[in-house]
Amino acid sequence: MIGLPPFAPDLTVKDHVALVAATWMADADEASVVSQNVMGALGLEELGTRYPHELSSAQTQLFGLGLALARPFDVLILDEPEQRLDSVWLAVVTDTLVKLRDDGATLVVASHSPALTERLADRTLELGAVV
Amino acid sequence: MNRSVAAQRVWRARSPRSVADRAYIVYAAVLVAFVLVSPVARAIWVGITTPSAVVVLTSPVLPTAVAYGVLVLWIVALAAGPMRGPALLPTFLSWSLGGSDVPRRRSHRGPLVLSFSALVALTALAAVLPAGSLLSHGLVTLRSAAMFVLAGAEAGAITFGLWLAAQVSPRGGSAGGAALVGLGIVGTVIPQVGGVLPWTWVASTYPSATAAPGSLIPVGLGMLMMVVVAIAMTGLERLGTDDLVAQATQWEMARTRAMTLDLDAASATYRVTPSIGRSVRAVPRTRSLLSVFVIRGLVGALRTPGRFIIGTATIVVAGFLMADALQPSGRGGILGAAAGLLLYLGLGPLTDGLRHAARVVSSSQFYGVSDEVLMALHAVMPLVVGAVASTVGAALLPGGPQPMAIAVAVLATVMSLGVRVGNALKGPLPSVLLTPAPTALGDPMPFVQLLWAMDSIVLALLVGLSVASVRLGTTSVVGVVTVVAAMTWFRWNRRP
Repeated sequence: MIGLPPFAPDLTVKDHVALVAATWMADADEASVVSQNVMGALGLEELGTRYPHELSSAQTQLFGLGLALARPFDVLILDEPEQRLDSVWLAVVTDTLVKLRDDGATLVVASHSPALTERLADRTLELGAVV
Repeated sequence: MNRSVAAQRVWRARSPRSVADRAYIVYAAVLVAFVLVSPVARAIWVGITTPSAVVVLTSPVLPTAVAYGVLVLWIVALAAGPMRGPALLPTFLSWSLGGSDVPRRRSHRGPLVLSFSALVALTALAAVLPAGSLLSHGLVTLRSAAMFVLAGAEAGAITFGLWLAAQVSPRGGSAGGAALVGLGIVGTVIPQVGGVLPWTWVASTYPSATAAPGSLIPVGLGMLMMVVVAIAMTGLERLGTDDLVAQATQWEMARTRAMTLDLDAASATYRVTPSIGRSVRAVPRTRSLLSVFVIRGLVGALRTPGRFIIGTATIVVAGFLMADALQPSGRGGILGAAAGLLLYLGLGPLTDGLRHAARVVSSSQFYGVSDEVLMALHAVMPLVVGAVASTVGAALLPGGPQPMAIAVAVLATVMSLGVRVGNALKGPLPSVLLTPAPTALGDPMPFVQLLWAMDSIVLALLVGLSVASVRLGTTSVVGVVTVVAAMTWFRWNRRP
């Protein structure tokens, strides 16, 4: 599960991401680019004008990931990012995370999804393996 | 562009207002200023400049009252900081800005400046009123009045510093609050010590025709203000994001509840959670149902010891005021009303069980006792503790314990407990009160809704006023008891 922040009920999805980007980026142009990239990578463009309470469970999960990606980070820690996602959305999230990894980001992911870990992980640690 | 400003710009743009919306806000503000603010301000000024008010303002005890007022204000600021401090943004902004590397003094500049300005303006205004009144009667010099207003503004700035310091360091705030209470007691017992404490500095500038305050006092207060504010602002950067988000969430919850006129739930948002005594057995091994409920109620109340002590101490003060209200001083009404309000507030921490019982009887019968008996059993502990505390307060009256004073204090306690029972059974705002009722004079329903929300406070004041006038006759007491009983009976019968 991605740690979801306290969404503002009267702020659109796009503005949530833009606000977080504006908090971290050096200027408004850079913040705008980051915001658009994040929305595009996660397929959130169509949801941009919606409010948090108008999102489905899977969309909320993606939205939370989008907010995490809108700010710079040294290490991204994700707890079961596949939760609440169907196979289509899981593929979107996996692609995004793989691209982050390929760009040099460090990810620590706890997951129950073999599909995700097989594509994403350089190293895996299996806890309490079930035979 | 400043990143904090950029983020806040996105935040402010979330619900853009049209020109018509803005024009309406200006129109409403002007209307409120003319219809409400202006007459109220004029009434206050006329009231405070009457000869009888001037007699009170020139009373020799007033500087002492000012000193205690400032002390209480500072203690309240220290107590409020850990729950709701001045550095507070909306929850999502607290999370995004609080979690960023933008310095807190920059990201929280808006609410900090607003809180500082509001406190300084309020305390300066509180000083302007008596100073202006005395000045208008030619009883004090302009310099003397200005010194008091300046000291008042500085006291407001110190209040801000203490409030912020307590938000930054809750433990420091608690220790500071305890230290102020202790110094207040020491200063009262040993007047020589009291004279050097900062709250008496403010009081010593109280305008007077006979003595001119030294100009060093505002300088001293100014230095204290700078030290307190500087310490608090330095600590601000250490304030954790989780703490900021927690305070913001709690504040938004309380505000939402208050806007639905559920004032009880709004205040419950800030009710402290049990801190000690979790391992102490709350339900004793006894067959006496009365003992079970009394002990359980006491143990429950003592698990939040600070709240219990403050509540009980408030009832002691209320008992004293109630007894004093009987004295032929001409202040019986004010003292009685204050006592009624304090009794109601003081009983709050003792009546958690009563509120719980009110919720339980609303659903189904538990514990094998009838609804009526359950409520009655939960009322015993607050009744006993409240009666004892108010008796102690009444007995503190100069001249020793007087049976009449004690009886009156206990009577007021019982009546206030009745108000508490009615309030516990209140439930949500009846939908019928939300229906507009247009009349030639406008829609009175917002006023009715406000009255519904504040009914317990109004009844508490009436309890105090009626009991204070008991020497003149018992009619008003009987009247208030009837209203309280009728309201409780009505709510009891309408419980789900």
